[in-house]
Amino acid sequence: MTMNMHLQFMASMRMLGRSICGLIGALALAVNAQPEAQTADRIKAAYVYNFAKFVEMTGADDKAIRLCVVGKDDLNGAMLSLNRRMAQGREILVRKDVPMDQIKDCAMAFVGDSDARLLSAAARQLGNSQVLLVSDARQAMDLGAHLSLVFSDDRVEFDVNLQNLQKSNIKASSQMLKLARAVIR
Amino acid sequence: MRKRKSGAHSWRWLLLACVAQATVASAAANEFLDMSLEELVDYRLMSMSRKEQRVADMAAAAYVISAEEIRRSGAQSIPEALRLVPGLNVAQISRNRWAVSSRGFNERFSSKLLVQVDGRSVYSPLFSGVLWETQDTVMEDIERIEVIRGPGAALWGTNAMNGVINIVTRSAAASQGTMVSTTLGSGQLASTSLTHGGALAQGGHFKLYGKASSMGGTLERDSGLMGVDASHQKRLGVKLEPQVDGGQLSLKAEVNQDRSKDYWGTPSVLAYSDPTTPFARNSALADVFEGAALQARYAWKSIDGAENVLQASLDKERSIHTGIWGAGTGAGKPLADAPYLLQMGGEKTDVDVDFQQRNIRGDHDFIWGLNLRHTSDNLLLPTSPYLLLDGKSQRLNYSAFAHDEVTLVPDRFKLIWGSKFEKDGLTGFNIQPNVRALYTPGQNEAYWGALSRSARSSRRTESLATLDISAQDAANLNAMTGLNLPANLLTAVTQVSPRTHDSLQAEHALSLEGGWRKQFSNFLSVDTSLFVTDYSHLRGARMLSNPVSGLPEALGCMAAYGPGVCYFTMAGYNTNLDKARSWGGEFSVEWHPKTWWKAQAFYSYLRVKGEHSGDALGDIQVNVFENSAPRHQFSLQNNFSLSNDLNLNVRLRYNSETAHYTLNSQALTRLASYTGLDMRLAWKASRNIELSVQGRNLLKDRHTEFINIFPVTRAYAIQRSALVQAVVRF
Repeated sequence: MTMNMHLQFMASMRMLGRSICGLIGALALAVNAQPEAQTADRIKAAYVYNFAKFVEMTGADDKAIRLCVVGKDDLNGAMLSLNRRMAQGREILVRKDVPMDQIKDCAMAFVGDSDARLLSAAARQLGNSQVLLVSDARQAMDLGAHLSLVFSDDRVEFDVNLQNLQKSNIKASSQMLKLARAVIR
Repeated sequence: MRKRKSGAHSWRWLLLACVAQATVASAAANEFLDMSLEELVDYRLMSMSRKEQRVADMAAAAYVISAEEIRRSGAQSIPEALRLVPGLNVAQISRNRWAVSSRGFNERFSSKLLVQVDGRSVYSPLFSGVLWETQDTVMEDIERIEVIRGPGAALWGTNAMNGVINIVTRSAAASQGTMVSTTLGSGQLASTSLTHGGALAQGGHFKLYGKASSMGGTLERDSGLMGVDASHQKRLGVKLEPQVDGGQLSLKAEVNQDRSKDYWGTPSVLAYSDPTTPFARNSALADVFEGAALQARYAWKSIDGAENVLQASLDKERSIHTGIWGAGTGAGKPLADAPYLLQMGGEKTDVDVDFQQRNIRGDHDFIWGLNLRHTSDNLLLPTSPYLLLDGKSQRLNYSAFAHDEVTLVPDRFKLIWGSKFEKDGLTGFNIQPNVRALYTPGQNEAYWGALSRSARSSRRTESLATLDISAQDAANLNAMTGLNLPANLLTAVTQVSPRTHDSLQAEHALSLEGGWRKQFSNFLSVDTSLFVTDYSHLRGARMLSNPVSGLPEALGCMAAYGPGVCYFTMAGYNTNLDKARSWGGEFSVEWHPKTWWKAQAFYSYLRVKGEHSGDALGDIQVNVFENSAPRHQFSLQNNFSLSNDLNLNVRLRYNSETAHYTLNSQALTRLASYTGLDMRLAWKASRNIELSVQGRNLLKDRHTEFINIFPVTRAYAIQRSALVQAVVRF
């Protein structure tokens, strides 16, 4: 009974939320002319979306998958296109510029190349907690990321640090490991 | 307790999500989100329009050959790989010499095609073309080859008149580890390539690469004897990508050498002609080509989001041809010296600085750029057929371009317009504008159209040389001119001079193109393009109205020395008067019927019609370009992934007939159409080793694809061949 009420409350909140969103959205649309993200950035965002689908995030008890962007680099807005997308039956909520002390509450954390200096701090902050740390910074693997996006020549590929994944008790599908450019075991 | 905390959190998240959603609403939807991980890994971007772009989004006849396609085809050189591009004219002249062009006007130095390696032009201003034999790159190191058929001059400038080819090698970061590739094949082919990549101590990556290859000659078409065109190539390079704050830096240094032999035909008086070819002498030449290039590229993002690229390069090349030449037919020279040992060729140094900036503001995707290029060269052309009075020259070219892609209807309609403004050291100021439109009714379908004006600057030898293009029996002339000269005793030489009172102009082209491409499913896609191009101010020549000069001297000479050694000249001059129209189309289809079977087919049609002036000299040039490229080309390629470790690639290609001038004939020599069959079977013996065996031109013992007119070389026959290759990575 309590559970049911809670769900109803959440549902109405969400509806209210949507209409507020619409309002803010309309306002924002009038003033905001965000540059279109580059193709490579959009591809990187699509990778992150696929990771959300294929990485088992047992630790997240929330209904939504919280995707936290550490710092301001959100791939020129491309990360925000993941917002409200569904993955593993859960909704993705994207948040930008998340303070370092709050990233443990996220299911996934992303550090962009322009904020590469934040990456090792984020890795330290997360320790072995079950938060998937993704980055497109150069040498992201060495700086503690679980998955790194590599833009080389004409395509975007990804590397997997299986050691770090195991330490954080995060399981990646074998299909995903097969497609990786390099897997650090 | 924990749940309530989550609930409270949800509120905050929801609000933040609103902001996020609102921001994204104005940005274009991300079409990649629906792609699977496999599709993303395979997805390739193209940098052809000076920015990354999907081929599907380009308002041009664009095509990309991937590293995988090059590997599967077994191509051993760049021109071989270019055979995969629908509609490109690729003809093998001899063992390692090629004629490559886009949309006609094919010759060994195709003047209307721009070729770049990693953004550095390898178009030789000396020859106004690319010496393909000197571009012997490590094939495994090529990441992709991007090709635009049709004009790219609005972005790339003079000489990108009929096409642009951009060869992109792998970045150091993507070439970690060691790769060794060894090839052995029939016709004394032996080749070894090596790349080694690692991490720099201070962050970033490096790569070393090198290739050495050697190949025997091919048979001569007329005699069937083994030709002298054997060659040896060496190349060594390093690529550095140090980690720097705030941008991406890439440095590249490369040296290469190509040694080969060749026969060049030169006009000659009867006494010094070869017995089998009266009025022509074949000079055996030893060719040495050496090149060195330094290149730096820095890309960074400004605070306001603009993307900047600064690139600088230093490029030196030297080419020396040594042999015994017929001499003495230049203006003002004594009549008919005996041939003696001479060197010809030249060297040049290019310094090039290029900057471009891209800004995306609202509906405008705007790129502009500046380029400065300084060329200094020293040509060594001591004698007939190319006489140069002053070999040294320096020129400064500067240019600017602006390119705006305007989204008129999001995801539906784009208008692209821009122009290059170029001051060319040889031919002056050229404006090369274009306007393009792209209509995308759906994500997988595009219609495009383009109207462009482009220019080509003259080659150095065109602007300055005195050119003796043919020698012939005076009897031929008697019929033409009504003169009564002693037949078989006097030689007539056609001599073409620059016309000093006319400044030489650039060639111009106005091109109208259109295309349609559609991806019906993941298994079937088609790409079509049509074009018509009008050329004006084409480089040509005319006879002077009073054509015979030096006749009294020639007759006096004959009285003193006897028949055979004396000549008189028929004078002509260089012009920019010729006009032509070319039209045609390319159609290609890619079909993936099964996961293990991929088929690609293309057909292309091309016509080039020049305006015949009726002038004997002028019409020779027109006949050359009208007939140098095949009218019909067809190709069918099938790739079978027989199992995880076996791959079979079968390629059938048809070229219709072409016709070429040779020095000894006044009429065109027709080369019959030919069908080539190439096959390659590859076995991935382990994760790191690939072994392959391939056969080329399997249907016919030998055939000739091209006879070159500038310079006039012997015609060679391309033979059936086989090779084995091993590629090891560790």
